[in-house]
Amino acid sequence: MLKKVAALFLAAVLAFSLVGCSGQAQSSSGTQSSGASSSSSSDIKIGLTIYATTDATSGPMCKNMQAACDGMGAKLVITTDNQDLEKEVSNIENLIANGCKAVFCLPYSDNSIPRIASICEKAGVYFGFYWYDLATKSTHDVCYNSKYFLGNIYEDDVWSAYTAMQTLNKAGASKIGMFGLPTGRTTTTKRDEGIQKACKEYNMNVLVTDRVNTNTSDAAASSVESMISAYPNLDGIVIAGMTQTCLPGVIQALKNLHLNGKVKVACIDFNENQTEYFEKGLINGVIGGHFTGCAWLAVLAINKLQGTPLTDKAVSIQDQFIVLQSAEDAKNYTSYLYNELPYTKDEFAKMSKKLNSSFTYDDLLKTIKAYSVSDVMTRHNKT
Amino acid sequence: MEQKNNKSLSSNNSDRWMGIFINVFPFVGLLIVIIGFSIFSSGATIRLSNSIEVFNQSFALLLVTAAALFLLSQDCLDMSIGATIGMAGAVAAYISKTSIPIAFISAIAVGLLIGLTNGFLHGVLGINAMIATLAMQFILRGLLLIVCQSGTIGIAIGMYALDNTALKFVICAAFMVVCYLFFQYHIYGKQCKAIGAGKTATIQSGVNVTRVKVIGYAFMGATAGLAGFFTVIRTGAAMYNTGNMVEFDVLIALILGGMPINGGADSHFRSAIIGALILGVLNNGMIMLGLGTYPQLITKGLIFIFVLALTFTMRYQLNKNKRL
Repeated sequence: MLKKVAALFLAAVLAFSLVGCSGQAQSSSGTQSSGASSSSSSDIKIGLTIYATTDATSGPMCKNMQAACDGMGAKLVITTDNQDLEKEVSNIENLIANGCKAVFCLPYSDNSIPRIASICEKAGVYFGFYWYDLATKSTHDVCYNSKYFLGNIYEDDVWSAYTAMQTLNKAGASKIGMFGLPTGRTTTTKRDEGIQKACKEYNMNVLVTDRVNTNTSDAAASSVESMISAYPNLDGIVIAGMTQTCLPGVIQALKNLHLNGKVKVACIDFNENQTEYFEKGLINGVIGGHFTGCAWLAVLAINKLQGTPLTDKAVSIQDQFIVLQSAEDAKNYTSYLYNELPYTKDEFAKMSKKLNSSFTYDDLLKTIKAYSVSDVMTRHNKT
Repeated sequence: MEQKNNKSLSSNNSDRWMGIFINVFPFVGLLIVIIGFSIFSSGATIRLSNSIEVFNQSFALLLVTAAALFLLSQDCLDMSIGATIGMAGAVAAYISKTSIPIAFISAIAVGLLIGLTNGFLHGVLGINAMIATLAMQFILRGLLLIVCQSGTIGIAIGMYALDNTALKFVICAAFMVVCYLFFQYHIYGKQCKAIGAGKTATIQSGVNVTRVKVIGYAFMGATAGLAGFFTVIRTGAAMYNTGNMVEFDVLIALILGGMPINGGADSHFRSAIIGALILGVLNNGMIMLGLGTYPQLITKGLIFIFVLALTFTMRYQLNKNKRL
């Protein structure tokens, strides 16, 4: 029996060796993105490292970026598993090794940017950041002094957190429990700043903050029960990140405590069940939909790599959030921005200067600024 | 009588093949992984540039796996390796702004201190190794959250010069040679294997088992400190989850390399190198093929269970036949 097993293994090795030596011209299937098919006609490959490809924010992000690549004639490679600095650096190196000529990532903080810039510069690969604003002058200089820095797309995280709190205030809440992102990201600092700003302006109080029990719904549910137990007068919960995992647990815990509708809920980042939650009056506001940033970076990169850059300088562009405050808002968002693409492949094709020489950087900025549910509905004749 | 002899002959042959298979399996596994991924990636994984990246990505793992060999051969675990890397890295990053040489020494010193503490808890106080080191992991991760309050601690610009593949190769090669000599030929290595094979008999033979364990954990900690220093150079900063899950990668690497799960006399140094390389190529190859996080975790888990089940069953059968 063991002779057979050993023989089988050695035969497998021999078979692999023969196949490996016999030819190399296989079509590259090394590009994968969340379910979409990859382009086949171009040598241009761009890479994205992101935390996931399947949730309510990362899923549309990847689909939009794929649509941009398909429309403009490029290939997209996506890597996930970037939950720490070491893995993020490895992902970037692997994307470059995979032949990507431009890579995009969400840096953990300004401290990791010099390293990312150094890797890309050595490899002669363009790089850019999504969901990230360059906070310090030194990292701003590191990036802008590099000829390979394409730019960064960022959202106004101070505004998003402020708006979430504003929603709670409008709903009558003032004593808030907060679920926050772990310290470690500039996003966290900005969202905290937005929350504090709203607290000052609207005379609200964050009574308790949890940054630990956000990874699973069970943990979030237990945390809510503890919060209510410790602060029975708590009348609002803001989820400033990790909404995908937190929100269902928060809703369930409030349901168990018979506090749905009495304790107001607002969150940043969308969730698959938000339409149902709005319909049942379980949440008061969601701010998110900021998933087109990578597509804009793709537009910049592909134009550059095709030899028709939209701009010669690195850029810093503010992307738009979408605010949902009712079931109708949520339904429209789901129908026209989630189930369909807010920008089709044909629309992206028109953003390629190679295919449409009249497209300019200003046109791109106008497109970005106009992004909203009503804009998509108008463009796609859904009004 | 003749029938009995025939049966005994065929069972000896069977044991011989089993022994050969157990020894050859890790090499074959490495070959399969390299060739398999190179085929599916159209040769991208075996390009020189990618091989250099695989080495850079596996450098820290190679170091800590070689050090962990001394512990696992004694049937001891260390679940705080990753947290030690993180803490040593954070200290190095912080001190590097004052002096890079002192940052280097501090990283190793911090790792050594943590290792000695683990050694004391398990070796001297007799607390179960897994529990003691798991508790240490929680403590260190909590301390890291406090230390890295602003999120990350950036390194001094001068440290980037140390992110040199040739330098790392020399360090790795020298480290491997030293560990090999100690593990295979030095009395300390033999004592480690003896403890794994039979602790009571080893004690009765006059070996100071406590000292062996403490030295093992101290060496592990110091090595994790060294790995932490180079990890923060590679990433440019330390953060609260630097070194996350490295202890599991070490365990998987050693098992894939053919290390018996309980250590003992069958422990070989080659397990560390082969296992770390298999894991490095596996991680790199899966990313090159675009596999997401969850498929990667599932794949690693399945491979781990398969290899463990296969080799554990065979070793058990082999040892059982030897006793008969």
